Amino acid sequence: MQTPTSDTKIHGRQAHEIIPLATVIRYIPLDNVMKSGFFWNSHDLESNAAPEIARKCGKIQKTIPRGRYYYAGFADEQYGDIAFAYGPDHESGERGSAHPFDTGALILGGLHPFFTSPPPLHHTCQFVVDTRIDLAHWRNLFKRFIDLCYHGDVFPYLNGDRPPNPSGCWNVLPFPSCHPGNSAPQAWTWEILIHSQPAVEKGLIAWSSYDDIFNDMVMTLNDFNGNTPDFPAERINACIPLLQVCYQPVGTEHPCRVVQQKIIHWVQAQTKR
Amino acid sequence: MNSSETLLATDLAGSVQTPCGIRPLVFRFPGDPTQFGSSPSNPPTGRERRHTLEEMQHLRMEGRVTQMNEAHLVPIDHVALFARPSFLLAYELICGEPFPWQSFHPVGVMASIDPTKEKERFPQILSDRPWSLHNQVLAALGSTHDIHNLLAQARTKIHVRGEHTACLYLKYPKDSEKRLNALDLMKEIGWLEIFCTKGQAPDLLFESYEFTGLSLYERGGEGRLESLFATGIHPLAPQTKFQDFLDHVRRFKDKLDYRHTCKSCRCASLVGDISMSDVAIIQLGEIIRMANEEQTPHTHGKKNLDRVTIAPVRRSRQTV
Repeated sequence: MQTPTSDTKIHGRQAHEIIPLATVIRYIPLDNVMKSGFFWNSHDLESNAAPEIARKCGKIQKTIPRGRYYYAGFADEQYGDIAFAYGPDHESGERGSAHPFDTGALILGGLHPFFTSPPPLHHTCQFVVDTRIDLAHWRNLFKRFIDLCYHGDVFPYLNGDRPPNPSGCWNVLPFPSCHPGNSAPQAWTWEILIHSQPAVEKGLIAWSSYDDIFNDMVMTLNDFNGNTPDFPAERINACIPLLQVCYQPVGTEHPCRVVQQKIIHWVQAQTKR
Repeated sequence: MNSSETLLATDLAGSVQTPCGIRPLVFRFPGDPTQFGSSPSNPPTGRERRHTLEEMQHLRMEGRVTQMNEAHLVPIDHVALFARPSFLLAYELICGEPFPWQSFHPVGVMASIDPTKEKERFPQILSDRPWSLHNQVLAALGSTHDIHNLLAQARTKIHVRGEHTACLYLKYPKDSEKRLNALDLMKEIGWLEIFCTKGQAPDLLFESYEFTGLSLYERGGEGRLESLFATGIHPLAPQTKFQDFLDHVRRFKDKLDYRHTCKSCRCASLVGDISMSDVAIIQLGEIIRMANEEQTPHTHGKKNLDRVTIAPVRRSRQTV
């Protein structure tokens, strides 16, 4: 019997077209915000691992440019206190790349087939280069991944489940998602890298942080509203709708769990006819 | 796992850089290999991460988790309330007594303290205050319910004491330096209270934001107040309307006006020129006690202020 695909399983918009991008950052203290004059600009959202990865990959550094990293549909709580989820508008008109696994985890030796310490860097870096997908095409390939590995159902992927049909995923390269030794979602969670610097509010669906961090941001915005040249009113005004409309209160949950639930509900709503 | 099961809590999730907040705990899971992770959700999801000791050390180094001085065996549904020295001292100065940890026995957590940075959130309250009494970040471990109750008590005390100070600005000429400083002080009292506000009921939010709201309103009019509403209140309570908050802040101003002009309801400076000596803290407690004994002013339809008994003032011992 033919396996149902994402085309046949969902209604309304197709899941691969709208699967959100999620990114998680650490809280930035007031002092840093004031001195640098930025607020959630690219530096805040840039991966801390990226420079280390670039250093390790040395000669092929050009192929692993720095930029803003996201997971497709997954807010990972190990990365920080503030989680953002974006719709597909966030990446429109941008340059970048994608991988069907976490390149940082692979290069740093945390995933099979390069699960060694230290990993064989040249082979690992070359593998990352060989598996690179252009940003413009990643959603179509993601659809194929979901069709083959998850029988067309995106929700187990969003829940972090291992692919039930990993051998069906790929048959050309030894992808981490196929390796039975990998149990962490980094092996099958898609990583998206945007080279440019989309505005933090562009295409935003939801964001969340702990109550005290939310409060501290509110205080920062209202303490320095237009009063300092490094913290212009236009920047603050741009952030206010972001704070106002898209915030997801956490209670005592981790913000990433809250945003993850929001992602799942959002995809459900978007794909429902 | 059920909620009564106990595990060894080793870290607080995330950073502890704000003055005060609640964090989930990171537990050390039994078994081989030893793994660390947050309290599992129900039903468990594949997205829940487990970390090896090596990974945990990396997360600690990067400030993505905050290690406690000692691991503690607690039920898996417990969370941590942390408080930085800035919060503890500001609370003491406003309320005239140490932060009410109640039966909690706060533990130290491994977080650096820079006295200069500590004062950034409460510059008016903490100006020229020494840090000898509080030299580490503390955390209380408990159920969400108990910690919310603890914060609610703290919030109430800040609010009651704050009302005796907030009207000070009315005695200074408009645009004078002293008036602006007094408005800043009122704003900081509001920030201090907001860190203890865990409920999302609109009434509670309005009340917690009224100090800061009035301060911004007095300095920048409706525009500043609207910004505060849009950033602070509306995201937590989307059903609320700005006009209602504006009305609330105006009523609060009337209340402070009344306190300022009514002879038997004088404003009292809780933090003004008082130093942090033992004697001064006792004086501070005395001022608060006297202020609380005064007749509660007309509140324009709002409920009367809660009366809070002032405990004998003494030095905090938990940080020694």
